[in-house]
Order: sequence, then structure tokens, then C-alpha cells
Amino acid sequence: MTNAELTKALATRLGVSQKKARTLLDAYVDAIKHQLDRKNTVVLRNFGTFSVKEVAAKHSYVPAKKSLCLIPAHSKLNFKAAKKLRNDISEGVADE
Amino acid sequence: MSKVYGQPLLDDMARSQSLPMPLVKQAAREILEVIREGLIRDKVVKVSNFGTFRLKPVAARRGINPQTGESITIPARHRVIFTPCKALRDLIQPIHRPPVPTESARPVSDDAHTQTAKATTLSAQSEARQSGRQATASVPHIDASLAPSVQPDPRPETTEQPEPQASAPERLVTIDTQPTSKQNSESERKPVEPRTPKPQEAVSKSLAMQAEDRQDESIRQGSDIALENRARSEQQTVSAQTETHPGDITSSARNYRFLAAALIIVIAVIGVGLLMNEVPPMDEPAATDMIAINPEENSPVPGTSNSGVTAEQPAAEIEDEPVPADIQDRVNATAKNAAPTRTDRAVPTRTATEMAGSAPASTNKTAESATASGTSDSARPAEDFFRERTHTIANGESLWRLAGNHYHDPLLWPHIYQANTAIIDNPDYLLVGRTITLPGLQGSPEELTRNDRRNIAEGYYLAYLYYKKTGREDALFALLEAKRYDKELVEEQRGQIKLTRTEELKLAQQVPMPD
Repeated sequence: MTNAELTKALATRLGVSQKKARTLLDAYVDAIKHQLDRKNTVVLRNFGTFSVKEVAAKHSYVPAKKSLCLIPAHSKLNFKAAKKLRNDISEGVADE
Repeated sequence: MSKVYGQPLLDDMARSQSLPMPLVKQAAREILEVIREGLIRDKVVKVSNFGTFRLKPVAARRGINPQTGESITIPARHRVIFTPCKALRDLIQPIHRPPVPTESARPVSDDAHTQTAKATTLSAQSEARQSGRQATASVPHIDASLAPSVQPDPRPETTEQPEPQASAPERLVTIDTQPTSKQNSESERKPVEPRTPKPQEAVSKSLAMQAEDRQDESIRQGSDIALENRARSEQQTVSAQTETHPGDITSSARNYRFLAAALIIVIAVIGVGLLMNEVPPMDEPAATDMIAINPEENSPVPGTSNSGVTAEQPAAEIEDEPVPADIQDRVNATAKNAAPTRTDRAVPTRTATEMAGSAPASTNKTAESATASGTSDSARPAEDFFRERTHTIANGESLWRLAGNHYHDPLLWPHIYQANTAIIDNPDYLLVGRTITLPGLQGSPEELTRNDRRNIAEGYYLAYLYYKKTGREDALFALLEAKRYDKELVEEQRGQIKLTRTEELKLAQQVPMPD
């Protein structure tokens, strides 16, 4: 599903124009990103949890150069699906 | 790093887009619903400027029902995976801000203040001390009336100066009695690890100033040009630092240079302070009757003492067999290195001068035994060395020194060691207060009997075993010495020691060449 399809479906459900739906979607996503920027964990009920996790530096092997390269320490974005979402997905996909 | 639930998101949305709250609430619900249905239908949902939700299939696998213990099949399912877009990945990375440039160092006008303060103490001190020291050309003579009174100054950078200045006179007068030895301990203390780095630049700089005052005082006493030059150069670097413009990128490097200069001077000050504690042990009655020489008067640089001793030693004979000169040198060098150190502190200079004093005392053949061998011989009766004594270890004693006192030859310390292995395990480390026996020699230090040499060799052998056990790299020298004193002992024990090929060769070379 592309972004366009998402906004179309959203516009239909909300009864607004697609432009407005797009604005709402962007605002929602921006709100989540704003919280993640401040390193907060965003919990969306029955959907999932977005969190920022730290990754330690580590060496990885580069076969082309046959040497190790250092991946510096950084942060990563973690998403954990909620139980309901997982169950819904497994049921929904299994139904097909 | 706190958990955020739905409401703040809604507030953000409403505020940023000035949307009505009911619409915002409904939109939040619907967005997630659409994503969920999209995942079920398409298995992929791409949200622009955010990321992609994907379903990843996971195969069925075996599992165990934790309650019944029977094995079950965990069905195949899909995992929901979210991969953020590049902008979001970059957004969450920690921001590295460039270091805020520190304030520029305190203005150099404080130097004038310190100069005047320095001059005060100097003029006060010069009356208390004898003349004949180097003139303080660097510090201009300033009338005492101009100098600030020795009171706590309200200005932060100078609060620490007046107090040490007040206390400095007492300390310096006490140091006065032994100028040269302080140089020793200062130069010795240099390699000592510093304690804690000073975090603040202003504090460190003021400490550097105050420490430099003390440094300059001590320098003037000992008139050591090298130290003075170093202190002056450090002061110059300190003042040079203040002239660099504040926007310098190397401001942090400047901090480190301040810290380094301050640390070196603090170490010197610590050395001065530690020397203060060393002054009392000089009057130990334990073996001072033997040490008639004043170690402080000799040039205490270890290098010169080393060469002086090794130059004398080839001629010194401890026993009948002539020993090759090079092995003798090596033995003496290593024996000096192995010389048991004091219990409290390592003072290589003192042991070096002791050796210079007492080693030639063991022989009357060398003409260069100038310094104190005669006095040390006359201080004790010559027949004392064969008498067995008990001795309580006092502060600052070592097996080397005890052997020198008792046998007139510190190289015979293993004789004491082998008689006291129950009490001493580390020959370099004597504990104050223990009572050890100083065994007697059957013969004399110049003519050791067979049993004497056997005992000495045994002592060296035990020392070798200890050094080997504690992982000392040059432990072999003890074995070589043992062989030198008694070949048969080493050959008897050969089965119990493991040697590398190099060590075996060295051991084989240690056979004294017959005349």
C-alpha cells in the first residue's frame, strides 16, 4: 500500500478531502517523530511501540576489502507490534 | 526517555495544523486502522516521510507446552517489521555539539602580583639563609612595602597563593639542611604517577603559580640550573599560552598543556613534601654506625654511582677464584638492581652510595677505596662477621645493607636470606619489626670457606626460585651467582629447574676460567 492509497482510504473514512487527509497523516507522523526526536517511547494502543535504542560500536567484516570496518555506535528505531496487531495480522493473513 | 501515549500526539497535531480535536482523534484511530488493513491485504504499507511497515513470514516451528510438557507446533505467522526512512534514522541520532570554547585564561597582569609576592618571600628568606646562592636575576627587586600583605585575597585566582607563601618559609628552612638530597628525591619522584588532574583551568593555573614559587625557592637553594630552566620554561609556556587568542581551536590542547605543566610541578611539590618525611629516618640508629659516609654529600645521580662502582668492582675480589671482568660487571649491575630495597620507599641513590662505601671495604686490594672504607672498618671489630646475631628489622633496612654491615660485603646478602627463609620470602622486601638471624661466616668475607660458599649459593638459589615464581624477568642472575659460589649445588638442583635454551647457554658460560 502506497502513501497515496493510504490517504485515499483515510479520506474516505474520515469524510474529508484527500488533501486534508494527507495533512492529517503528515501531522500524525510528525507528532510521532517529534516525540522520537526527544528520545521518548511512543506507545500506540493496540498497534505497537516505537522506541529509540542505542547500538554499541562493533567491527564488521568487509569481504571485498577482506578487512574489518568499524561501525560506530549509533541509535536505532525499534518498533514492537502490539499483541492485538499480531493476532489480527496472523488471523487476517491466514484467512486469505 | 519516557513513555508517551496517544494524547500528546493529538495535542501536537491539533496545535500544529490548527485542526479541531474531534477530527484529530478520529484521524489517529483511522490511520492505524488503515495501516493494519493495508498490512493484511498487501503485506507492505509505505508511509512517506516515516517508514515502511512490512510483514515478514516466520515458519512454523516446534515448541513445548510449558504446562504439560508435550511438544506442540507453533504455527507459521507473520512478523510486523518497521523500517524507518533515512530522514527519521538521521533524526534520532544523538547530536554532537562542538565543545564550547572555554574562557580565555586569566589576564597576565596576575604575574605582576605573583612577582611581587615572590619577591617578598625571597627577600625575607635571604636574610634567614646564608649568602652565596644564585642571585635571583629573573625576579626584580621590589620594595617590600609594595608587595601585598600576606592575607587571603578576595580575588579567586590568588586566594591560594598567600597561604602557601606563609607556610613556605617554615618548610624551606627545614629543607635547608639537605639541599642536594632534595634534588634526588625530586628527580626520583618525577616518574611517580600524578594523583588527580585538576579540572578547572583557573585553579590549576593558580596552583601552578604557587607551586612555581616553591619550585623557585628550592631551586635557589640547590642552585640546579636544569631545574630552574625547566621551571622558567614552564612559566614561559604558561604565560605564552595566555597570549593566544581565545578563538583558538586548540583551546582544549591549551588546557592539557596547562594541566601537564601543573601536574609536573605538583609532582615536584609532592616530592618536596615526601622528602620532609624522609629526613627523620636518616637518624636511624640501626646501622648508622656503619654508614659513616654522608650519602647526601656524594653526587647522588645513580648513573655516576653505577659507573663508579662497576669501575671499582673488577678489581675487588670477594673470593679466591678470579672472575671474568665482564661477568663481574654484569653481576654487580644486576646485583645492585636486585639489591633489596627499603621497606617504605625505593632509594636507589642511597643503596648505590652504600655500595660505593661498603663494597670496597670488603677488600683492601684496591687503591681507590677512598671514601669511607677505612672508617667503616675501624667502626667495627674485624672479627664480628663470624658471630651469629639476631636482629630486628628497623625502618629503611635491606638485606643488602645488613650484609654490608655484618659481613662488610653486601653481596653476601643471600647468606642472611637462606638462614631466614621461614621469615622472609621476598628478599627485596623486609618487613619492619621482624626478627631475623644474621648467621655467622666460618671464614672471613675475603676468604670464604667451602661451607660459606655453599650457604651463599643456597641463598642465591632460593632467591632465584622466588624470583622465578614471582615472574621476575632477570631471575637468572641469581642462578648464575649461585653457580659462581658453588657449582655443585646448581648441578644437583638442575633437575628441578626449567631453563630456556638461552638461559642454559648463559649458565654454561658462567664457569669461571681457571688461571
